[in-house]
Amino acid sequence: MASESYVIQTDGLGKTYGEVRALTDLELKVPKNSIFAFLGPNGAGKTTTIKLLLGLAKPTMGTATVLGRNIVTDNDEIRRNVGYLAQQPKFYKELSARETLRFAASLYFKGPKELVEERIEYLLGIVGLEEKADRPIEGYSGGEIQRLGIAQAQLNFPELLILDEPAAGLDPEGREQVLKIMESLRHESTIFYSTHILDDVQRVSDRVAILNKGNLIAQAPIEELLVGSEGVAYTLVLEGDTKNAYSTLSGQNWVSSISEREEKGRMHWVVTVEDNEVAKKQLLRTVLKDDRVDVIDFGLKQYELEEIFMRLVEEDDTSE
Amino acid sequence: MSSKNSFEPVTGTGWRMGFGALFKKEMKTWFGTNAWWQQAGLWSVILVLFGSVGIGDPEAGVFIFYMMAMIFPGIAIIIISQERILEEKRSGSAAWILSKPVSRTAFVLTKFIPSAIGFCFSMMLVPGLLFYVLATYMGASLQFFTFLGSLVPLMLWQLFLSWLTMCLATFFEKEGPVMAVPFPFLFIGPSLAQHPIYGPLGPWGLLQYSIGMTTGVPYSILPIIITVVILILFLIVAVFRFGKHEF
Repeated sequence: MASESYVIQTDGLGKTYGEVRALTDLELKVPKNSIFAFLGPNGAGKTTTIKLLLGLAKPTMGTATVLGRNIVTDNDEIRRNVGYLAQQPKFYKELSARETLRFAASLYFKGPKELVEERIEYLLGIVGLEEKADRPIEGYSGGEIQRLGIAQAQLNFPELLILDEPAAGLDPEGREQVLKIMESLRHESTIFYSTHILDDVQRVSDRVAILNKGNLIAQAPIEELLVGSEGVAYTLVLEGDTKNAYSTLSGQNWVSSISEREEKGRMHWVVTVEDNEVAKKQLLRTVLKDDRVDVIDFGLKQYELEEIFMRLVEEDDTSE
Repeated sequence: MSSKNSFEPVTGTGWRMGFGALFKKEMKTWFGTNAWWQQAGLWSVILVLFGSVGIGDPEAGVFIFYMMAMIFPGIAIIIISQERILEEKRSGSAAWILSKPVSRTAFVLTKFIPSAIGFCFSMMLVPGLLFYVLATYMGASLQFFTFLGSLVPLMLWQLFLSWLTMCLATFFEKEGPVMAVPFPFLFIGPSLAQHPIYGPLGPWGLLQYSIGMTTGVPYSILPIIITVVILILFLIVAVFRFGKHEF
């Protein structure tokens, strides 16, 4: 992919605070028009990365570009074209949502006043705050503050929207609303968001990067990541005498491994294959050739992101 | 729905980036809310009451007014000033503002300058004018413009406390160290002002300068010069330090 197709591109980006390495040698590539999840446990370095990209902190190593501009030397221009929602957004509590948006808009636009008001009204509608728009923020719930945060981040028609833990700390309803808003904005901006909520990632993102203890341990389209590092695998639930079927299948050159466990008198196999095209045609047929085996269930193994995430993080932890 | 091109963008660059919008917002925070008249009312009552102690001796009343105007509003000014930058740094609202096209210099300047205007107007000028009306009614012989001019050194003193506090707030993350430095100045200042040698050598001498203006006893101009230089230094140091701050 050409470098201009990436809205964020980092090259060995790192940050240390004294002796503590918050971020090490980050090589991140965020394609244009994607919803990119930046996933990691608490303290992984997600917020540090975002602050570096926005010029709120300075890198101690490496470089990065956002929208093709250097994060250190051309940060003013980056901030004109990016929208940002902080992890726990804090606005001036004495202002109403509408006044907050007017103030934020005044940092980007001088006018015309009616268009600014129209933009504010439009965004209040998107985030569902029209009815509360003129009440002081101090009475808002966490979810409402978060939604206001998304609205103010979207004011300047940003090419890139950076959201730091947009759904953290919200109740299920609040989370649902935030995710819906994110999905509705995908045609307007590239969305780069940090999170540790795996369900949300699987639901709205098309690409994922996983950070652990300041190190990038995976970066891929979500479908690719969900396939798992072992490649494509199929699950089978079998009854009967499976010994011969097992040895026949193990002998196939397109099968890389079979793991089996017994549960309630049934055998559960996970067959990892090297050539999926052959496997699609041959796997089930090969097993069914043996009359002593009944196939109760068969399908492509669906990894859950949590499974992948936990394995990658554990592998990274043990490799240290 | 309008596109981005239909809007007139803010074009300020360099240190001016975001200055206009932030300045307007900060001025509105003081003059667009109840803050300006509540502070003006509070300090008018307190300072006029103190000044009226010298009801039988109007000249003594004027002296008491200056003394109290140096100390008491300073307490509020230090407390309010420490919140202006420190609270925004801690709460995350500074990071929010600075994630937008706003220069850090503009952020600092729009904390220092609008605060200075608000403090001087509500906590010095309004109480001073009310005291002038009372004092002349009681028989003090005060020239209006001389008295008005004598409020300027007192304003500079309050700016010294305010800008010192805000400058410290760019260095520290807690109230303790931010307020620990200006408060001793506030309480030792009036005594130091009386000292024949050290009196004129710092902002504390501004009290004597104000008194000298109304009594006609000339006092060294050094406190004015020193204070102006210190205020400029506070501003420069604060801008430099805040420019290095990492959120």
